[in-house]
Amino acid sequence: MITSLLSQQIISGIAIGSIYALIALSFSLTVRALNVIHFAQGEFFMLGAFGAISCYMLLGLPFWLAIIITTLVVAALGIALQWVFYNKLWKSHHVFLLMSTQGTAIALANGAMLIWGPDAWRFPKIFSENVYKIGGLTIPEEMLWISFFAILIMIGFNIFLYQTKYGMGFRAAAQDRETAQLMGVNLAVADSFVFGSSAGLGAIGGLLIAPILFITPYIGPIFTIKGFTAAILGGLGSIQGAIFGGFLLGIIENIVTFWISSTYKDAIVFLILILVLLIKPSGLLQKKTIEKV
Amino acid sequence: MKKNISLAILAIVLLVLPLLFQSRYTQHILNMILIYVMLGISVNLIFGYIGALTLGQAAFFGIGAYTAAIISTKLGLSFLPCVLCSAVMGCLAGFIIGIPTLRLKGPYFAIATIGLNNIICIIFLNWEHLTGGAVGISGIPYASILGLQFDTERKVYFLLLVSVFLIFLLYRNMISSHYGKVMIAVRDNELAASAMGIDTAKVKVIVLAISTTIAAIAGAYYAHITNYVAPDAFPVMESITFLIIIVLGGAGFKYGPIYGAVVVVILNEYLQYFEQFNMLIYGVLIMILLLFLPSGIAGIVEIAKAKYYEKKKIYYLKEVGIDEMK
Amino acid sequence: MLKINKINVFYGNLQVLRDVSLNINKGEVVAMIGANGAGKTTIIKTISGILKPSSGEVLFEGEDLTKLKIPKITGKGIAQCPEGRRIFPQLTVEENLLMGSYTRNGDKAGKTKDYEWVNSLFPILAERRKQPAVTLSGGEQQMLAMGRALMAKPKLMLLDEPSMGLAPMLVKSIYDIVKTINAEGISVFVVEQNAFMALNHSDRAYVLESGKIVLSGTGKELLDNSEIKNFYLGKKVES
Ligand SMILES: Nc1ncnc2c1ncn2[C@@H]1O[C@H](COP(=O)(O)OP(=O)(O)OP(=O)(O)O)[C@@H](O)[C@H]1O
Ligand SMILES: [Mg+2]
Repeated sequence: MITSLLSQQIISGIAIGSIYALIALSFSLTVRALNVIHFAQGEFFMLGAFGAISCYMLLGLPFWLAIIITTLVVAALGIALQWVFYNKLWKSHHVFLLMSTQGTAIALANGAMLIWGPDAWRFPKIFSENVYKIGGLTIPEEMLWISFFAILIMIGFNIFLYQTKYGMGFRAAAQDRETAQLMGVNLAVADSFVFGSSAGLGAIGGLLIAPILFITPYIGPIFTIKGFTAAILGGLGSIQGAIFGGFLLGIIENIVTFWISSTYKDAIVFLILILVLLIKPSGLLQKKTIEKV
Repeated sequence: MKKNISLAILAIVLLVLPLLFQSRYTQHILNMILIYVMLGISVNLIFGYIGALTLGQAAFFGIGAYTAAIISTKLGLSFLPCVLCSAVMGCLAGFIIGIPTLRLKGPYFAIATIGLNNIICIIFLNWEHLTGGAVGISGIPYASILGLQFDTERKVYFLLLVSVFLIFLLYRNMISSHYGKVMIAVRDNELAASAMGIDTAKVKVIVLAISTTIAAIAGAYYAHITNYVAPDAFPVMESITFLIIIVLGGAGFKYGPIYGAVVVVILNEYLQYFEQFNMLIYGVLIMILLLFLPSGIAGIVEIAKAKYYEKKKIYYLKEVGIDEMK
Repeated sequence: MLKINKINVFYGNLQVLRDVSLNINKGEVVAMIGANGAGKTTIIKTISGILKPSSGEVLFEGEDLTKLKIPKITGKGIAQCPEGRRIFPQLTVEENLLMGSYTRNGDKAGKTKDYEWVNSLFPILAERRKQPAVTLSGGEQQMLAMGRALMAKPKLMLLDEPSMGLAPMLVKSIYDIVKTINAEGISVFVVEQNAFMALNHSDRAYVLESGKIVLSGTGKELLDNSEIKNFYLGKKVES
């Protein structure tokens, strides 16, 4: 009985965890390449969800097309913000960067409120209404699809980053900008890739989760902090760590909700964040501790 | 001499200011500015002078407000004891939270404070029999000292003015004292400061505790002025507003909190005219100001002052017959 | 092949190079020696385009490089082996080498051939192929940096203090490699504090002092120059 309840929580945790993993990945990308903690990550996520609503519900486009259009538009937005604001700010004190990404978050949330209104939107089930019952477990098929697509995107992204020439160039640029440039890497393209894919991955997270969440313009900040917590859990700046941290956080959160208290669920997430920062700032996966200044 | 005259003028202006404005609304705004000056001072100490970026100051503001609210409604204590209790709670919270978290560097401290602010808000929301949950606590009495009730905006203004003045004096003395230099040394180069024998961890924690004490005092005033506290008054967004006050006003400048509070409160009020666009404009304004005004209003004022005195010096030199010096 | 004409280079207000002119002919090994802070690295960075001179020109095969972006200059056939190696620590040894050929589009066969050639020059790199480069020793990292530069199929290779921090035995083998590279028709411009090694292995050399070229000649001439002996070689030359 206990084990089946536990496995039920773990399975539910994996679905939401795959979404946290996407956001954590977005965080880690800008941190590892440019040491920028981008605090509007949750807003890109929110825009992804609204993109799904606009394209799929309002315009009636097929879901796959909605995904492509939304992801590209949000990625373009990420790149545009980079060119207008962050390019000028990222060499200055981290306060300015953090504040400016916060400013972005405020502006995006309220821009979205103007377009889609302050009320919650409910997205129809896209994939399937089926619920599987295996043993004592109930598994909504929807969740399986969400995790499946999230994992597929992450695998695809990893293949690009680790198996292709351009992926290698971008990783090199994240380690040593000047030398990467000497090797022929175009830094402007590399930076835009970082900001664009970071925003785009967040948007995909929002797109995928739209069917199981009430969407409002104000869901951004909580996902920002959860994605960030996931990234910290796995080691901020690490690609694999972000994915690991996302799943771990999703599972922890579900177990806490079930076994301890749902009212204090978010408080416990924040507590985990603070504890990991204090005790193991380099994340649970990393062996050595790095001190970031 | 000249300085004293300008100070006297300033004092008179401040004293007659609420008499010039008849509307309750304007007086309310003046009061908000004064509360935000307190909060600005609190953030400037820890961020401007120690360099620890806090995005959780609203939590301490909230702790102060709730302490005052609970004590005055449940125990029936009067205003001054409430302020004292809030101050003590703020100070304790500052120590408890500062000792572990101030070890974190740069943005990591900021993020820990975001987490903390959220935790405190969740506690306000869910510890119902103490905090009243989402409804909050109402029926907090007006501040009263020795039988004098501060029950109109105008009376409150004078109460706040005196309090802000006292806190500002304290703050000014602190940053112009030797300890202020120590703080700046810690901010500018922690390694060098500790090599000079400064216990940097201790300095940071103490300054944080002072700063959270001030925030909690502001909270106690807030509770007694609005007669009502609820959890949605202390979100991270509010902490961000405090920080914006300082970044805009000039972090690490003595008068930064004053410039910042005036501008931010007035800006917020004006932005109300844009109705639903107000936050959008606010967000964009923040980014633009960061780009073009990195050292805040106080920074500009300092530059202007330096230029002015430079000129004056040159005039002076000419007067006494010395040629312009390069 | 490379001709530098009276370049002046500044960092902010600080002038680091003053009217520096030099030239490197095809197939030559040219050395430049100078003390710490003389401006050697600055010259290398100016050639590869990281720094732009405020006046003067850098001509490579007749074309002025000062107008070009860094990746373009690399594409022209100038590969740099930077001061302090600057390998990509988290990339594997193999990936580091492949980064060297980043600008070479197509030409798969050529790249494979060069990859094998580099591995035969530095067999240790083949052994460490899958390791992150950060795990290599200092000497191995120097070899990796040189191998990476060679992967660009350069016409001119710029070496900034290849002997820094290496044991004498290793320094010797590094310079043997320089000889081999040169024998393949690649011109080499090497900048060094280790004057003895550099002068011994170069056809011609320049001496840089406080951003100015004060002496030039063949490697042999400079080795015999009494001032050079005093300032740069110390007692080493006697031993
Ligand atoms: N980024 C920079 N900003 C300001 N000054 C610099 C910078 N880089 C180098 N310099 C100065 O320029 C001068 C020349 O530096 P350079 O690195 O070219 O010397 P070098 O001959 O390579 O010395 P070394 O043998 O120590 O490597 C030095 O005085 C140095 O302090
Ligand atoms: Mg050098």
